Amino acid sequence: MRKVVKIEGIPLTEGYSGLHLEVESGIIKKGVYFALVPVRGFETLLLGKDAKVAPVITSRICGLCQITHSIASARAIEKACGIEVPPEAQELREVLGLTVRVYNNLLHQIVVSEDLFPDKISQLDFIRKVQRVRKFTGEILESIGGEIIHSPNIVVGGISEPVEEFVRERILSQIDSVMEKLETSFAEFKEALNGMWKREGLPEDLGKHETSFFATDRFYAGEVDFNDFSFITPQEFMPEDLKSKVSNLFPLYRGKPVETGPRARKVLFEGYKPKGGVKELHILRGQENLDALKRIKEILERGRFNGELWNKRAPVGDGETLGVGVHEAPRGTNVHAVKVDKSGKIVYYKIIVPTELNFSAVSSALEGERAAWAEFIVRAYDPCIVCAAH
Amino acid sequence: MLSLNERFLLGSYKKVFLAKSSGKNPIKVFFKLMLKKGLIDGILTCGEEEGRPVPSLFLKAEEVKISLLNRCFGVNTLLKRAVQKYRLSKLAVLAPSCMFDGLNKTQYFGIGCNWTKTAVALKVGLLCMGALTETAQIAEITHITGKRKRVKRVFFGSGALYYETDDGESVEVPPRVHHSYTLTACRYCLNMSAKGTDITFVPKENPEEGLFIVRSERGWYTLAQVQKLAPGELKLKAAPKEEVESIISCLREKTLLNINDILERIELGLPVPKWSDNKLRKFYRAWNSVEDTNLEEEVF
Amino acid sequence: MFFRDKLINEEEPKLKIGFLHFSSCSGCQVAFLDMFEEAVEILDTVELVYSNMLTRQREIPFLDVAFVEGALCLEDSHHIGLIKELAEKSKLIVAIGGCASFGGVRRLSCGNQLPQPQHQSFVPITEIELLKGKIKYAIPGCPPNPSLLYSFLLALLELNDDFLQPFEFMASSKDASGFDVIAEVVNKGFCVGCGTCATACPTRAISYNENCGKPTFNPSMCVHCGSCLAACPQSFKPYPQPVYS
Repeated sequence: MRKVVKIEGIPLTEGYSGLHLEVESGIIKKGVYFALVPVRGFETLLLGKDAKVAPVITSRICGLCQITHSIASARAIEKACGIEVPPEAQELREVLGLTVRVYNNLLHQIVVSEDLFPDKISQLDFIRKVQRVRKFTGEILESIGGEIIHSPNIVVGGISEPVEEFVRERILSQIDSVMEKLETSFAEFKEALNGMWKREGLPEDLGKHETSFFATDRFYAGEVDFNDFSFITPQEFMPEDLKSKVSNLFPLYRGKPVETGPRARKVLFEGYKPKGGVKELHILRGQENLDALKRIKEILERGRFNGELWNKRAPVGDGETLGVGVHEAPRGTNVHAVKVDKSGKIVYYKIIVPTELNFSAVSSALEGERAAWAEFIVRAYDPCIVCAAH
Repeated sequence: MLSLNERFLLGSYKKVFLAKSSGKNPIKVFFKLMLKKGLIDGILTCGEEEGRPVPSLFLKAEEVKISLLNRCFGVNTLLKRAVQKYRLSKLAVLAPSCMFDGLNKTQYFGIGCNWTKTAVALKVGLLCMGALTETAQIAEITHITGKRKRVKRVFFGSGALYYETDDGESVEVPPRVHHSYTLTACRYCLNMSAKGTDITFVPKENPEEGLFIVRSERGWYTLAQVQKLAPGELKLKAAPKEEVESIISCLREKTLLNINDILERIELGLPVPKWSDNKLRKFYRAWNSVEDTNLEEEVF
Repeated sequence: MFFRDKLINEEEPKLKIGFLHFSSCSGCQVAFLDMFEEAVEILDTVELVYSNMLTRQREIPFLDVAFVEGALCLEDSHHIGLIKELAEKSKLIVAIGGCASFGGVRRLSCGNQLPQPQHQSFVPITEIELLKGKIKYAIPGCPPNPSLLYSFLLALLELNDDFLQPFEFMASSKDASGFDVIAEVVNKGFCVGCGTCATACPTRAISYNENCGKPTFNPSMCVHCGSCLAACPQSFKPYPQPVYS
């Protein structure tokens, strides 16, 4: 017998989200995952505003992966207005983006640690170890980005403050020991993950699905054609009681739902053969931390960032050109699209965040799994609901 | 009743020293030595660029430049750079008392700048009779001398504030004139001697001389360390009683003018800083009644 | 003392705290975790009984202190219910961050965005009459500094009234933007030109005019978080200060 299970508020995830499951003898036949936080209207509140303020305001979309919105927004405006950005500034943005990737992925490990560790003492001990690495990422964000959360140094045209040599050297001098700490905590994370899978009796390929992948780059950003995206609104297919509540759109890439994020980047840019399932996703996300830290070291060792990093030309567009800014956020590809008019005012703004793309992937991952495990699947995608309902 | 005695005007202190260094500004020598010897890792103060004071953060002894004018604006704008970006942990600050109000607040509450609580190693206050912008200072010196001149240095002489102008002349600044040209906020200041710092510095007529009013244990210890590490570079001797008396009489005159202005504001029903009966009254209770002499000063 | 007898229960000395999330970015709760290792110590000292992000708890239990971030969206029925629940189940509420305390960046929202274009009105929780008696403190900032949150939590545990008083005042204040610094400090002749507001501004909307020795405010960058006025040494004085009484 088919019955409907509704869940509102999923613990151990960011924000307030829900699940609508059609269940037959304990197995999910059809599932939809969606956001329930109010739409804050970042796309409409930016209209008529000075293009320069967009990175500052869009940063406030999310408190977990703040900088990715600033970067995507600044890049979109630079494209729309034809502003050249010093290559060093792009590299620093990459460093900041990767730092947030580590910072945020580790935050996710803290969030799911309640699931991973059966007892409080080992959980707090694990959090403490993770926090030591996060502290270092916080230091990079403060030194280069200006603040840990909502870094103001990402500006249209580059980075507002150069990084002195001794600051760069100070960060570099710590990276190796942080890497060790990260490796240790990652090993512990994997062990705890295996323990959890055993304890809960979860299948190795829990949450396997056939959705295709979408990503634009391994670390920083690639190109994307904005016309490839289309959207389904909840009013088109959700049950009656949810039509006026669900606050995210369901974007499609080239007409199909896609999964974005760590696994997509591995598959598309490193030739990784996915085994499927969410356990793999957890591990790949942890692996990305190590890759990101190595890349940060590589960039900082190679470059010098103590010169002018900011093209201060005022952003002015023609009101027609669509500037598309892409950034590979912790959770996947983050896309901002903007049109700026001749007076420098924003006349069009559209944001597609990774969690929005992943809603469909989560939904298909739920199919065929036990209803009791639905939340484990959702958590593995590290959904950022406030981003999704920007 | 308010009593404008030494305790109120100058605050509590351990000892006043007259410092002398050959050929150089003693406070500059003091900071340079501390930086060189690693007692501090940065100085946040007003430096100078082309003769104009600018908020500066010095990390190297050879870069240290200290403004000789009392135009110490915007020093705290560099706080985030010093603490969050450069991660300094032994920061020294040289500024008048108002800058320390902001700094103390950041340290105590944590508002404004992360990690400041443990970042500051030494607070050196400047005796300040009220700060002026460059334009106001030109107007003031023209008022006094009748000629348009530029002020090069500010110092305290016998019982008064003096300006040294670009033509080498020393001009006594009458408190009443100075009072009318300073920043408005300085007209309500009751902490001109930077109470609550480790050391207060007072520039003297001889550019190689200055008074160090040592207040805290930390100030005492630091000064002793500098003496020990570089004996001879900074010669200290107990300041004669007249020196202290002269500063007190100078402060008394200006304080009376300030109190008068504060009373005027009360009459108008405008909010008053550091006084009673204003709309944020409960937060000013530390300053509420300027009565008696039960002093409780603490340095972070 | 307001809550000394009410808050501390002798049999259960651990303070039960919870984090609630209205319309905001979760950054304030993350800022709490950005105390890094100290956050772990605090989690050990108090009992975190509710947070959608950090606990498995579904129902909101009884809370000694509820930390609330974000503004209330009037068009969201879940939010309305949450406010009622909050009024029932908490002893004391702390509004944390600009959105909950002063409106923050939510002040700019105007709705008309798919899929729910009707979501358009946002009210900071400090303006809700139902919670008036319960909201004791408001913490400014976008987000508040981790050091501020750490000091605040310590002060709350130690019942340090000197520290907490300004935050009590801010819970009933609407002054939160650079304009208020200009109106309350600069225009009233209190600005000494120290530059603390410029350094406190998380968006760098306030810069510094060295010629005049005064802050310069760029309103289009302002997110109404309240940091500038809270950081200004002339808005309220820190304790300890020289005391004459």
